[in-house]
Amino acid sequence: MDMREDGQLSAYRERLLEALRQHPRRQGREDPGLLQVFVNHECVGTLDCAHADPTLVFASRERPIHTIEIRTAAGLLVGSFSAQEVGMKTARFPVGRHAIEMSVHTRLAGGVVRVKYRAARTWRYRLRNAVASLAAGLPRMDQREHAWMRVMAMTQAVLTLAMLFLVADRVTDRAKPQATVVQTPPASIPFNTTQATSSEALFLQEQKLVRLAQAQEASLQTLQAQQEEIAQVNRALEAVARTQQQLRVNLQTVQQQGVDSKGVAPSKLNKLLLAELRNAAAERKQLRQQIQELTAGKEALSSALTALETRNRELEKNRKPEKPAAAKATEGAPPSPTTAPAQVAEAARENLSQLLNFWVSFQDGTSEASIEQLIQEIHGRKGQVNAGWYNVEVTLPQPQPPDGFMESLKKAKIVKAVTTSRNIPPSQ
Amino acid sequence: MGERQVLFTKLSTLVATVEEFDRLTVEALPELLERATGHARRFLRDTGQWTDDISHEKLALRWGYELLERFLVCGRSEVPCRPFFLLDSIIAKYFSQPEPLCYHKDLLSPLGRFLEGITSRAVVSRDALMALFYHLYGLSQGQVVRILGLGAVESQRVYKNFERWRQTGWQRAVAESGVSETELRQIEDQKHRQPEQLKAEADRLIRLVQTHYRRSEPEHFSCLTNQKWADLFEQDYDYDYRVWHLALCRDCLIDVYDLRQDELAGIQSPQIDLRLRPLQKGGIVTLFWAKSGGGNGHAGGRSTQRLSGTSA
Repeated sequence: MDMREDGQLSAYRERLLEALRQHPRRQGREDPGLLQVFVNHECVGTLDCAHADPTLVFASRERPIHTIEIRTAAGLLVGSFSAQEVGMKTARFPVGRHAIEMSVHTRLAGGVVRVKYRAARTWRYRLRNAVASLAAGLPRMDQREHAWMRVMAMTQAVLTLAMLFLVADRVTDRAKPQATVVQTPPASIPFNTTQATSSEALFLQEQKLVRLAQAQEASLQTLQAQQEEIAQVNRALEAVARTQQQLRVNLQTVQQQGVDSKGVAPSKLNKLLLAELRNAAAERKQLRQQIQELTAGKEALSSALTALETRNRELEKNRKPEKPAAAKATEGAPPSPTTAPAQVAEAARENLSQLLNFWVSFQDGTSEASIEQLIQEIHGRKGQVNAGWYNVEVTLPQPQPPDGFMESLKKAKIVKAVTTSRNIPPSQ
Repeated sequence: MGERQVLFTKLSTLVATVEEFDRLTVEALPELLERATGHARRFLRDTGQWTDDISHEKLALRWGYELLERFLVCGRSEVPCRPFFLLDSIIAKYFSQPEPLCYHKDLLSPLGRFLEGITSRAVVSRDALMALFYHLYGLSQGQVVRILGLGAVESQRVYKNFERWRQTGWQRAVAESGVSETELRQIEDQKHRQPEQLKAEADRLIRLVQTHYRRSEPEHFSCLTNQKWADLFEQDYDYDYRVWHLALCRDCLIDVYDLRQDELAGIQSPQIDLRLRPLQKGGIVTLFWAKSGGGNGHAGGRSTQRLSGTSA
């Protein structure tokens, strides 16, 4: 390579290094938009960050999961994760002010990836939360000062607003009559006009007084509410103090009993007590962790449920205009192989008679949500799952042959294979 | 012990916190890039794909850069770790995949590097993916929306994709793929002098590149039959599939066009029509100028842009 080429290469290297240095800054300011999720370098789905806390769940049945990457629509890598060992792993990546939470469950064959985008909360949300936490009562001991500060700040803000309102009102009251005098000389005003003006002014004053009274009432109510909250906090604190005192008394009693009892040394008793206390603290910590995990799980479930409900509503909405056409198509003749599974299910509701039990397997990478959705669409009941095969039972309308139903099911995009078998799952 | 030696020692010892990892990697970026590039160079040598010239050096640098980007983001979740060992492990894992790199001698030319650069970008960037329709076939965002039969929300996204690509994406992708302004001008010049020859060359290289990068799609994103394509558009589902597959498969794009020809009045069948620079915003004005004077607002001012019926 000659000097010119060396120069070109150095310039290129510098450009790439600069791009790498810029990476954290870009991560901080780039709008995530539509996030792409890559599993083993293949795009498996997108997360629309315009929605509230969108979540993507991807399940792989055969191939193990090695890497997960999250990129913005512009291709910027914002999260990367390596899942080399079998088991559960979680991570959290910042995207500007927002965050991505990722959890991977890797198995020897396949695995499940769950990616959730958490948008940063606005200051209004945080303020509302702070007030709610105060209203709910018991703040923790180390948060007591913060709670008081918040209460004081809010009270001050309310009082300042009320004062400003009063001052502004007084100033406008004084300014109005002066302005009237300047604009209209007394000689040119007839008596009835003056009377009308004064009654108008009185009416305006009256209205202002009413508004002022309302504002004052609102301020008072707010103050009362704040006082109630403060009283509630005080009560909670007193309760905590009482509990602590009771605990101290109990401890002293136990220690006294220990000293009184023969054959047990006080130091040993103390050690026993300390061990018990340590155990209790550890148990409490464990319990708190379990509660947190349960809460997180509940949140995930409720969000998944909401998403499913929304999806169902959409499907129902989309299906409504098709109902008459589907009824016509199914009248007197079995549905064609191209009939959608949803239409088959609609007809099945009308003539309940024939039970069909079959096994179905799905394309690789099909999410559990899609599988559940399909089973719901055909009004099926899911049985056991064996080596990627799902046992499903459906009730078919009398005139519809099972073969026709099976053919139409095979046409669904996510379905890999369908077979009938009574008890034994089909071999792979 | 020299400063460089100290840095090497630090990179080989255990890093305990994320802050320490960030600080150390920023300090040692040139060394890390050198190491990642060295791995790429060795892989090309071992597989008999290496020649001592600037094209191969640039190629190794680019792949080293891409691997280092992954290491910098992934490494934060792997702390505590030894940075050099972690980088080596990520790279080894990447190269152990079947055909990890899109290597072909013809792709080392400026045109090959341009096509490979934007297509590899399209695999990780939706902006680049949408822009492929313009760079390869000259389709504007409105035409892309119509051919793909997208809904209202998805259409808005396409316009945003084009906008971001115009503002920053194209510049960054071209810079990172190592194609210089001089080389872009050379290709434009060739397009002007020998349009048919360039088109044939681009056609050949596009097939090569698309075949490789289509592997980045999940398995079920394979080519569909005409009947399945028809179902997909009639029943109006799977926008993701349409976008991903049609951007990276010319044959299917032509099939879909033929299938939906009646609904695509005013749009010609997608043919190779290479555009090196991003679609400019003032398309309507450009069209007017193009009709009256023959320019198009691009550097060089030789080719005309196609415009959608709705917007440019």
